[in-house]
Amino acid sequence: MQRWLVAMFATTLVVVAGCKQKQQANEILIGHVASMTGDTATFGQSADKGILLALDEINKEGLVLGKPVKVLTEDDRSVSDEARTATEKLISRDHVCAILGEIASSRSIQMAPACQDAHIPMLSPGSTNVKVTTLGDYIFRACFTDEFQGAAMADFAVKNLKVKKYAVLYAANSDYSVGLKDFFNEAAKKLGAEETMELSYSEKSDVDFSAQLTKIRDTKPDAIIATGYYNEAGKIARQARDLGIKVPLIGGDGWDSDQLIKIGGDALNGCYFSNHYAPDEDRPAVKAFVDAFQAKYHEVPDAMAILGYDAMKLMIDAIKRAGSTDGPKIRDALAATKDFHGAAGDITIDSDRNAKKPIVIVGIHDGKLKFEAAVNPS
Amino acid sequence: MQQFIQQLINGLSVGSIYALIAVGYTMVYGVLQLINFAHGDVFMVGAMVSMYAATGRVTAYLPPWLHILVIVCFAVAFLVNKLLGRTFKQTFHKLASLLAVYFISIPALLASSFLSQHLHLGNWSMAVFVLIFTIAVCGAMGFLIERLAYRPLRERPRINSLITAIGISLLLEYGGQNSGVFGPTPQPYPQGDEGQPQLIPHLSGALWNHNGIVIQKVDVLVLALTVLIMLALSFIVLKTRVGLGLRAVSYRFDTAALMGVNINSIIGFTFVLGSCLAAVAGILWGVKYHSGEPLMGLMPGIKAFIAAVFGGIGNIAGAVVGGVVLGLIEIMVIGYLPGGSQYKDAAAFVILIAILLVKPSGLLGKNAVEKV
Amino acid sequence: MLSRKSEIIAPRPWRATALANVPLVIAMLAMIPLGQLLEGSWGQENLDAYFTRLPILVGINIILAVSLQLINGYSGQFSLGHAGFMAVGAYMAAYPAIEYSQQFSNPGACVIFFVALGICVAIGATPPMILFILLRKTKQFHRSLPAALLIATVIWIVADIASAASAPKTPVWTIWTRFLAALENLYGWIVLHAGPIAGHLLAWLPDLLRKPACFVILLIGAGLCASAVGFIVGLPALRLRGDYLAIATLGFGEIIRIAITNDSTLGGALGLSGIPRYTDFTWLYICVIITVAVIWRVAYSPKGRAIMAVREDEIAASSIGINTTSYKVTAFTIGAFFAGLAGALYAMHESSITPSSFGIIKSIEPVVMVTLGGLGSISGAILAAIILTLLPEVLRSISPDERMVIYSLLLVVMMILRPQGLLGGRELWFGKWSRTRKPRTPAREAVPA
Repeated sequence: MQRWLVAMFATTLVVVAGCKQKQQANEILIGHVASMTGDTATFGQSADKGILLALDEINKEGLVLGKPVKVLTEDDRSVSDEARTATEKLISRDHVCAILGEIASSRSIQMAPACQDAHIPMLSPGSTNVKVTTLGDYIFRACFTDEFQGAAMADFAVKNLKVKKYAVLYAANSDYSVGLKDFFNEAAKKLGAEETMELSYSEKSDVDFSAQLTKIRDTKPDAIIATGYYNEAGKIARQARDLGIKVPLIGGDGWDSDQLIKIGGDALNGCYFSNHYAPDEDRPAVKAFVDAFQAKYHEVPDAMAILGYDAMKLMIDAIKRAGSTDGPKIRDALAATKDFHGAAGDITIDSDRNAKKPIVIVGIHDGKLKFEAAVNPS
Repeated sequence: MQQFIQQLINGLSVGSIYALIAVGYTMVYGVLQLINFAHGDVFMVGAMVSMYAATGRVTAYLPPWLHILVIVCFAVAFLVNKLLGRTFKQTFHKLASLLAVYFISIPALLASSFLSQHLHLGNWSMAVFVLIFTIAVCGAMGFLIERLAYRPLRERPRINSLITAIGISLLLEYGGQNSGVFGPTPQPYPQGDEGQPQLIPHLSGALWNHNGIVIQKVDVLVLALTVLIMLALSFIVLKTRVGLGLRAVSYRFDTAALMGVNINSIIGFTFVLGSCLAAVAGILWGVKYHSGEPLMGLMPGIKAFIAAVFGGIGNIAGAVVGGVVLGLIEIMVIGYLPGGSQYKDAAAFVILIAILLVKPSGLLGKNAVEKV
Repeated sequence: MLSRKSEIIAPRPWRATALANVPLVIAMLAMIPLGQLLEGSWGQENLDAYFTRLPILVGINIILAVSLQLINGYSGQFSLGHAGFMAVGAYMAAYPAIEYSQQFSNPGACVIFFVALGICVAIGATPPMILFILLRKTKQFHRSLPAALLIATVIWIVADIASAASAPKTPVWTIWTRFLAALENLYGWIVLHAGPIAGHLLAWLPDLLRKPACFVILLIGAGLCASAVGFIVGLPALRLRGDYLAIATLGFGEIIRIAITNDSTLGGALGLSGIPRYTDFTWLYICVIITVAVIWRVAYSPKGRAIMAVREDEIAASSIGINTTSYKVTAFTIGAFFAGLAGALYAMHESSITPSSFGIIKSIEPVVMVTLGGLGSISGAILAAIILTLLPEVLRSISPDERMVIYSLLLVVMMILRPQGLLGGRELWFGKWSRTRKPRTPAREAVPA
């Protein structure tokens, strides 16, 4: 008797929980999948802060299509499987009309099929791996790709830092790291630089790089290219200096975080990385954003914040141009974006659904980030 | 050649921390025949707690629901024992250690939070305080885990204790990831740069930096500590009464009880000692690698267990040797195998399986024959 | 139904006759309309898509738990490496699904993939087998096969280190790499030439049957690959007991995962994506029923009783003539087959797999389910699988932060308060919780000192 009761109770629970909730039709819901905690927590937190700042400004300007705008943020704890689950939850339970996310390329790649299947447009603020937008015509990005970034890094390294030989230390289990190092190698080879050694590590689980760095040290490179995220980059810099390696380290936009300096400390002085913007750029749009961000959050924004801000504004702009919250219509409007004035630069979405934006090289001196050079897309 | 020596040094430094954790594993296994999966997580707690203590974030404020929960549990325990017919005094003796831990922890936390906030990072006093505090916290945690989770299962088949150990490990990991505890994001350890204070003073920088061979001061400290601890433990096990009891319990559990050895206190002592060692290992890991997160104990814990098995489980010197050799092999695999950094974990497991097949008692263990 | 002469005297219990399978078949067929309902248009409109993926997860976990029950519960070998078998099954189904099946329309190519793989592995395994047999014959070593393989690996590594400066030219290395390259060429040749032949042979299959045929071929092939790996893991497991076996199987699981991570054909660390999705509720239910039926029939048969005897007291069992080796390895092989099946279903549901999703935690989950349900109880494993899959999801909506904490706390409390599990080794469907089925849980085992 008891068994049947338990079975019936369980079935009722499941059935009730499984029924669809009716959609709220009186507001525009945008979903944001971000790594608010975990290994790359600052990415998600910064992007979220930028998005919420944009949301404030948008709601101050008035209603969009007659409805207020709301953002639902889901934390994926820096894990790819969770990113996909969060996306599916946002799409099927919360009925968002568009998804913003993710910053990390590996997680965007996991999320994309869900958005594509459901015909919900996905705009990644900061995923630079080329594979992301190839996964479907509903997947967009509001930043440059690693093809451009790798070439810009190689350009800076060979022309400004006079690097003739370099060694690479990359994260083998990160789409972003592998893609970026491949493009860097391609571009550096064209410019005549030689790769002395290429070694890998496992992101999120490795803390000791002394063995790899010892091997690299013996090949006497002019620079070490570390294409991973900030958590490991700081440790690599520190352990490199401990081993007596004095050459600069060069990285990509995955380095951008306030935690980088905290982890790497003085070891990072004299290192460079490519980024989406530098806070001390003197364009008026950048200045306005930095001031607004500091007024709201009392801290200097990093690149992910400005990317989130621009992506949110771009999405709302596309919704306005589409004139509806219908997925396919927003998609078409996004694809037709031309010269959208973002804080980090003008965004034009090309036929591959990527944005053509300028890149900046940031240098670290005395524990502070300094703008070094800007490269415009050809 | 020079690279080889540097890799040797790298391997020694990685291996000594494995050795420290392995010693704790081997002691507990020697006494209880239990793989304490939670040991790696006690190591993690040691690292995180030392970080919090060093940066003044120890709080004397325990949430009220925790106090209420503990008091309710004690009350229920007394009631249940009363119903079972035991007197108040008997129950009090049974629960004495738990009550002691609870009542000592309240003023201890108060004192610790005061000290943590008023001592300056970079002084020796802070270093000593952090050491004592971390060892106390981890020791208490090890004691509690044994008392609450492993003792009820002593009469049961070993698989139950194993599953409970896995459960405690998961509890510590996910509980640590809770934002109210440590949070899932890796946190930087207070470290030494010019002008920035660090936990153990005068520890940054190299001891020897010639001919391209660099020996860090931290690594020397870790190795020296490991050897010291190994000697101290050997002394304890071989020359003291407690050690005699330990050896008796590890040889024959029930006969030792018949001979008048207090099993509960010996096992408790073993766990506390093992957890203290894990705490020291945690502090040294944090000082060496500059960051801590709740999941950091999983892999080092497993590797330390492999090291303990490799050297002969139950054998303290074996654990140290196993740890050092495992670290060396790991670094050599990264250094000399093409694509080796992806294989380093596999290398550890291959060694484990090889030693289990070829000589299950480990390098320094004695061959035991199973009698029918 | 009298099927043997001896049954005139003593009829077999109904459960042992062929008729006993009829309710199973009816149950299987009855679920098909339910599955169509859930997946069809009614389901799309009225049921939360996020929630309907739960039954599939539950089903996969049931298959994992029940297959592990055979290894852990019935044969008493504490295995923590189940995720390794699952990973093998997942990848061995995903790779041909992407490369050869052309979106499940080419069953011939799938068959040829497995045939080619089998031939190449058989050829590749011949030298170590010869080495092993030679060693046995000379009676200098009488360790099991993997020890020989390990020795060969060590020789290879030492040779590599010795020639680390330039391209390795030592004889062992060169022979080994050439051998591997030749095997790869053979594999490619077979696939290239036999593929179209098989395609023609199976061209008579109507279009409607092509997708299911491909799917079934992939599932069975993946299961067989996983069971081959299970066989290899089961052999050294013969020498190990208790905790050592646990860590050794954990090690095997990790080695498998790391081997996959380093294989670029299988996608390396980034995994395989774009696997065609074909798992749905109907198929999953059929697989669950088959798994439970097979494991049930194995466990409650004379073979199963022999396996349980080996679990209870290995020395006593071998002294009455039970071939302990054979039964222990069989348990691993069958358990691994179904784990591979679960992995294949998982791959074709998730549509993208990475090696990191088959880590230690994935191994621990079925172990928790099996122990929670009670060692030696299939219905217990099923119940525990359902509860432990749904519980985190239910808790996620209540308190996303605390759900794993509650989960692990529950595990610890459960082990302390009711160590024999929910059902304590008894089965839910043997009427009135029959006492005769309860296995004797031994008290503290004697430990080799």
